[in-house]
Amino acid sequence: VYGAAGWVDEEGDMDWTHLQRHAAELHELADRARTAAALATAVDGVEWRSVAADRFRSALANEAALTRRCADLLDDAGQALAAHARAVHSASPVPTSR
Amino acid sequence: MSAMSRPLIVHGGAGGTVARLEDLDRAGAQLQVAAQVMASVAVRAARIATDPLVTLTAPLSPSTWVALPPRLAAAIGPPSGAVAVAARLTGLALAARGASHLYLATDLAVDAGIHAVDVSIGRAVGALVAVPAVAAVVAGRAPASVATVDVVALAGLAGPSSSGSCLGCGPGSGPGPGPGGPVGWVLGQLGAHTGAVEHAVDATPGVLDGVLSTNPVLAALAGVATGQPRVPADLPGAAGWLGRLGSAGSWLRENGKISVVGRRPVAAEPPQGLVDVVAGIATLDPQQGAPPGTVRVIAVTGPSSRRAWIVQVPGTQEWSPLTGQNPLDFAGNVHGMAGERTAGRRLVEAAMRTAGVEPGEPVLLAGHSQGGLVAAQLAADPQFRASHHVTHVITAGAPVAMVSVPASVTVLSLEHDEDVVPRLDGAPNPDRLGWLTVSRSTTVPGSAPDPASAHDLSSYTRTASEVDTSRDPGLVRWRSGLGPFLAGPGATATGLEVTGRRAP
Repeated sequence: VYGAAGWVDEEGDMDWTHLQRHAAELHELADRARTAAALATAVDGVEWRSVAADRFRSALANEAALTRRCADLLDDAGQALAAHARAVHSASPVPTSR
Repeated sequence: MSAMSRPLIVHGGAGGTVARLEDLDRAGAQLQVAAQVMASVAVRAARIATDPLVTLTAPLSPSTWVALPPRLAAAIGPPSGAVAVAARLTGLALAARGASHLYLATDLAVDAGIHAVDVSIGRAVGALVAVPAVAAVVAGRAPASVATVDVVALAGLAGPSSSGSCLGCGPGSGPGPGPGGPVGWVLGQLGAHTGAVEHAVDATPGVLDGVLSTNPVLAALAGVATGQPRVPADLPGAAGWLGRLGSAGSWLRENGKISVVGRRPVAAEPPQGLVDVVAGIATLDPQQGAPPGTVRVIAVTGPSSRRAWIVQVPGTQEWSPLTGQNPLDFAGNVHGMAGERTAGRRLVEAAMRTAGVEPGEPVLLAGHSQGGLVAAQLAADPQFRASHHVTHVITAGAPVAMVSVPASVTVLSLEHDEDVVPRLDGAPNPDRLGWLTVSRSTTVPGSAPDPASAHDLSSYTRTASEVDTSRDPGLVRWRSGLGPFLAGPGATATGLEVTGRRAP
């Protein structure tokens, strides 16, 4: 339901609270990505003596670092979305219609 | 360098190939979990990025909205976004798991291929030797009794364990004609080429099949006697076939029944280490004064009154192929190799029942030669494990490679390089986390290999003392699990020796 100064979603959330919910979800996803990075890092505790072990460890360290980087990017996107939500809230404090 | 200082070689356990493959497979599984987490992150992040309602807020704050698309794209897409990371983690997980599975599949294929080659060669050899052998017997030049004596003489190499008084043993068993005679020379050759013995044993089903292939009448008779028209291609199957063939006459009969004829409480101390467990088996030798067919059950009680049990099983004590009363006899060897429930196994079960071993109390089964085979087979028997909590098996000079001991049981196998008996399983022991095989050469540099002394329990006792002090990571880890069975503050022990006879 749209109005000149904003809208309300199907759950009844106003536009800016809808955006805030997305921002919170992105931060939650960042935490999940950090969990995945921890899982990948824990793998490195396993003992190997095979020829390919060093290459595998190197790849593993790279993937764990990328996963942590992904978590940071999700946090970054979440912060940007939260900032946008605040700006939208300032611009349209009350939805015009449902 | 003395024989004592020859280094221990450890296979399996924490440093084994398969243990490392298990590590790799486990790592792959863990990475797959991480990849799944990131895949779900990617899906949810993509839903946010493509939400049309977010786009609809652009006119309300264009300056903040414009920052969103590049940030969401970076969090989802390449090079570090959730979709890209999930894809890369999946690839790495599949590489790890695929590598370990491929290695195992290759290993199994190579093993099966080697067995097939051994059996084929054996079949050709059997067919070649059968013709002149049968002809010689028919011509009366090779009485069957001579062959019997030779078999028993060679079998005597694994005879009375701690005395070294078996046939062909002693200082004369070096190469060439000497005080040990031809048998000693043969034993010396066997000791020097135990790897070849393993392949020869692996080829045994083929040899038997090859011999029968040259004589349809003999094959038909054997088929009737054993109930199988052909010799099974696997070693346990061939051993069972041989046992049934002998049982058709008066040889190698094994009914798997025993009667307990003696129970004797004995003084016991909690073992200080592996060396005491192995040395204790030697005192069950009839030549050391123990009644034939005796096993020992030791209860080690800790300070919290919790009991742990050690069962000691000696090796073969009777080498005649004619079935006798001693449950640890040659018939037990053949039928044990076939994986059947032998009288020796029944004796151990009866001894544990007599001693009062309760379900749930940890049990360590230790055996030398046939005793080791009995110990491993009991640990592999689901019915036995249903009533006994077997946690450890220790074998010394025993052919146990083909016994399917479950991963819940930790196995330590001591196998000297020159000892032929552990090679009679025709295959190397499993290489896995819970199964360590410790090998060592017993040959003093400059002297001939002596398989008889290599099989002797006194020799294995020396190796056991080295295991007790070894810094090998696998052995250190193995020793750390022995706590309930060993001496410690407040620990006490009681022993019971049980003697059995094969029931008619």
